[in-house]
Amino acid sequence: MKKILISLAMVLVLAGTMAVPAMAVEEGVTASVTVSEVIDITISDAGDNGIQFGELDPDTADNPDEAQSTADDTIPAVTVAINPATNVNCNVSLKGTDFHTSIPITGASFAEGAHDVAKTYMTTSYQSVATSVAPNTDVELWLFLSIPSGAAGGAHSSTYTYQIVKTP
Amino acid sequence: MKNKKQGKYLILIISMLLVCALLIAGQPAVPVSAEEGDVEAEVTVSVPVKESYGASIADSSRVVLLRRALEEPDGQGALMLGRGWVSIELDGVVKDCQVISVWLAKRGWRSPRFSVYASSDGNNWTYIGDGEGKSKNYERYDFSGAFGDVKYIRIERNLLWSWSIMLLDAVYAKGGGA
Repeated sequence: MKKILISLAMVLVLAGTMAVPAMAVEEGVTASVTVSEVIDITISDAGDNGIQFGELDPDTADNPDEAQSTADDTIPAVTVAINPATNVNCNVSLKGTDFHTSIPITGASFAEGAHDVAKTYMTTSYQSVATSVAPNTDVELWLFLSIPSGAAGGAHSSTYTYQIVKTP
Repeated sequence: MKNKKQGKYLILIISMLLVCALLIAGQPAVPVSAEEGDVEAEVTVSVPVKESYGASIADSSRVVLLRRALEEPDGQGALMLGRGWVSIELDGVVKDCQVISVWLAKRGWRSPRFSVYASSDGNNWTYIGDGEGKSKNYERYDFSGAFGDVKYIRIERNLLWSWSIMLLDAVYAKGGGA
């Protein structure tokens, strides 16, 4: 009987202990995420595929791209669209290759934003076109080419390369 | 003795870990993403010529059988009616043009009058001179002067003679060095 009482007492004590309301326990867990930087662009040119300067005579300066507007700012030769998916501001740069040894790329130039603003002459290294361009913004370029005296006759081509990087 | 050795190893390992941590921390930021795009640019440079006949028709009005006005004279001309006119592009730019020649003939009783213009770009025209086609046989009419660079020659009839037709056989330009 005594053993039964002792056992019962122990059970009661245990039950009482377990019945005590539990205290709240909180613990913080740090969650982290890294969103990738995205640069999404579209480069488009007016008129026929590619930049077309047409047939030009030697010793002529600042000949415009055939498709761009020459009297107003309605049609740029090339548009670099910084698409909405981009989540950083961007710097836009431009470089080109020589059309021919007698027609260096330094005779090519661009005007940014309007057809009649000051031109920047190109080189084989990147030249800044626009800085801190926000997403969902177009960078518009009017392009020109000078043909030096003594330039070789015939068809010539160059590759214009546009570079878009995150603004530091 | 053993503990001392273990301690040394521990210090060495910790030092190496610290150096690695410092190197990693000293690295520049992750390279920024960049996009590049290429667009081809094309140009055709015309070759200057010392002399040239007409190579192609740039524009015209009231002229039929246009191709007869191209290349060297062959006794067959394009028919210029009423106040017809034609702009002819040469093979290339004639630098420092000094002579422009026109071959033409008339059909009908009246002698058609004509004017000659020259241009380097097909837009801005310089008056060269005028003449009168008096013969029913093809004749050459020469105009001399300092006409600059010429790539286009434009022939215009001046008056409307409905009973007269002017036949334009050829045009020609010659530079100073030719």
